[in-house]
Amino acid sequence: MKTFALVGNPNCGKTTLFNKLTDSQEYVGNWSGVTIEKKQGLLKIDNDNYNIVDLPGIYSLSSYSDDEIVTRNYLLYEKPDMIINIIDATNIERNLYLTTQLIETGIPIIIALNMMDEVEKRGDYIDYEKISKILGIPIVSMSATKSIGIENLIDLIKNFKQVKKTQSILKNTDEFFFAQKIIKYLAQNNIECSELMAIKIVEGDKKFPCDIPENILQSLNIPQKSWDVLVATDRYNFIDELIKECVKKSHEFGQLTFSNKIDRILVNKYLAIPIFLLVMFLIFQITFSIGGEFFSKIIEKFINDDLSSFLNKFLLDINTNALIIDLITKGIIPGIGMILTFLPQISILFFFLSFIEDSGYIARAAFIMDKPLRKIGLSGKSFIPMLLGFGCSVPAIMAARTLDNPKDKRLTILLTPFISCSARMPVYAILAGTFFPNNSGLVIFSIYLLGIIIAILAGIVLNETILRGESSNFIMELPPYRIPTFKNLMRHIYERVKDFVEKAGTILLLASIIIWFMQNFNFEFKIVFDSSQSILGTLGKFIAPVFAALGFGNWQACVALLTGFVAKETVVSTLSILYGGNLAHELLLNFTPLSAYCYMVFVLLYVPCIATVAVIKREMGSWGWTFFSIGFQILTAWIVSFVIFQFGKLFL
Amino acid sequence: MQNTLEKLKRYEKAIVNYVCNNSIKQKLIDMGFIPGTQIMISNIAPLGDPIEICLRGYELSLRKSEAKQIFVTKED
Repeated sequence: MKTFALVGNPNCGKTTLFNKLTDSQEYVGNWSGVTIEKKQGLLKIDNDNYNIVDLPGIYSLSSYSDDEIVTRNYLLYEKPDMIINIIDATNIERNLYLTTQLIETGIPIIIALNMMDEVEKRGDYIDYEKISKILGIPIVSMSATKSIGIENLIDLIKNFKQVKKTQSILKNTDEFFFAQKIIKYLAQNNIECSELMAIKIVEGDKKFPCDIPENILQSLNIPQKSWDVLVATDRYNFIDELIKECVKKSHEFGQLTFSNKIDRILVNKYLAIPIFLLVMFLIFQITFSIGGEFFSKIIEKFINDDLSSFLNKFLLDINTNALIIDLITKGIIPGIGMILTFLPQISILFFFLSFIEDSGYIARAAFIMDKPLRKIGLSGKSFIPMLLGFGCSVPAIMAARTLDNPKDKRLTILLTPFISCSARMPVYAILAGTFFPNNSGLVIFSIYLLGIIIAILAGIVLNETILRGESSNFIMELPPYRIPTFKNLMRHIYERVKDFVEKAGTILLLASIIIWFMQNFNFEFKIVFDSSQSILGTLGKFIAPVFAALGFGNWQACVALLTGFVAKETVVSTLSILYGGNLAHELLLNFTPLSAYCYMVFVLLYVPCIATVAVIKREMGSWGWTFFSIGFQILTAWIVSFVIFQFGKLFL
Repeated sequence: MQNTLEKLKRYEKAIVNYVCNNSIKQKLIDMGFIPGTQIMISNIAPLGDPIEICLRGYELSLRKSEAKQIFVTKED
């Protein structure tokens, strides 16, 4: 089967095209670095199958961060049969720079000139047929979001055999002359070397993988010059000429664009920070007030009153075993049902997070926050993973891969779990709703804020101790503002809701059954009537003393923290099963407002879930850092809860 | 008059002369800071740093410390 790779600058629409071609549902957004891994999909045309590979975006083939290296190495070593070079037509100059390098890999190329609808809307004109002739590369004009021109692209893919290699645009330059010398010399020694590799050798690019001995290079007599600048200048000069001939722009250099004008307000000297805080506060308010107060109550009422009593009656009617009825009505329904009432909040939260991502505001947030973040040893780029952390810690930690400095990456991975993910929301909602019915919004807000404050403090501490050093650069593209497509927003929400329901149907269902079992049986597998004698009761009582100083030494609360390792929602499931009956009533008997608050703080700060631990291990590539992260979080959670409880006792 | 890029004010335009030799040089020239390139400061972050630069039809953010590596001639 033939393999075609999608290659292009970050945020030029590779994944959108990938989804269209392969009928996939991969994540897309309007910022640089959404795709961080190689993804494969199948394109079916008539009876033929083609393997389509989506790669992280790169600006050039001298790559810097882990995700960019994935792309470069794929092109150098795995050699796809053809490159589909996607170009953001609104940004054609810089996008063509990569094209001039891709030509030199020796792999046949076609160009998909994307976002042509935006070019037209701006009143610009691109004579792509002329560009195609000059470069010797077939070009399709298209818009992946609007599904325009995809048919033409598929036609080109079908006839890929006709796509011929084209010549390097550097062909008449000095660097090309020396590159040819290198290629010839290596060919005599049976070493294959692409033009690109040879030019990189001339440039003296140290980051480029090159296994040619130093003495051979010296024998070629390449004069000492700043080749890196010369090569890039030749590439850009070629592009400048091309643009002059083939592109007509409607506005002159220096005229403010639509995005510049929006930024005059959103990134205004005085307004930027207040606006950012207001945006976050509104997202929060709408998520919890509309989602929480209104929709959740409806679902909660349905599950607790209607469904539960109906099932109870139905199962009794068909003479089901009493133990099974107990398992269903006192294990599964409270365990999962309680969680499902949070679907509306989660949908609303993800709606707003997606909106921030797709509109292009997230890059501005990073721009605004770069300077304050530098004080804790991070860069504005770390702000994107952290903001995503409000949704789910797992993709947030993976997003840290776009950071090109290992220290920044580690620090971001260690701090992101302190940002309160949506799975922790149910715990706060229930406890705050029970203990602070009049100020629940404010109390929950304070928990989120505390997460941010702890992340900042932890950042300062780590930055001054074990993770010292320079923070990475902040050379980051600011994409133009775009109106998010309804379809993409809905897809993001759908994906999240699906994940959530799947989690409820699998992990949480299993956890609920196990918890019910461990609550009703003792270590000799005999039924117990007092659940404090059960397996869970015994375990809970064993670890309870550790938490007594934090205000919640009752065994049920401690067990819920243990099961919370599986997923944070399990904390609610467990409390709901273990306390049984009216959860709010039981909570009031077992917690004081202060200890309930400390419990929320502990849930906020300790290890998010097993999936997060797994992703930390994968991204850090070390067990040492993984265990450090687990220990660091648990210790922080304990200390902060302890301090709040002990101080709180003095005043309350 | 030759200047380093970070000294420019908002909406001031300039032409790139050269980029200093250092670890981010390759990245900067890849992004289009080639001698002769027209640039404009399109925004400055609320806390005075980083700055947003318009070049080659797109917007790029740079810290002042990074912009300092780029020598430019101010346009009138």
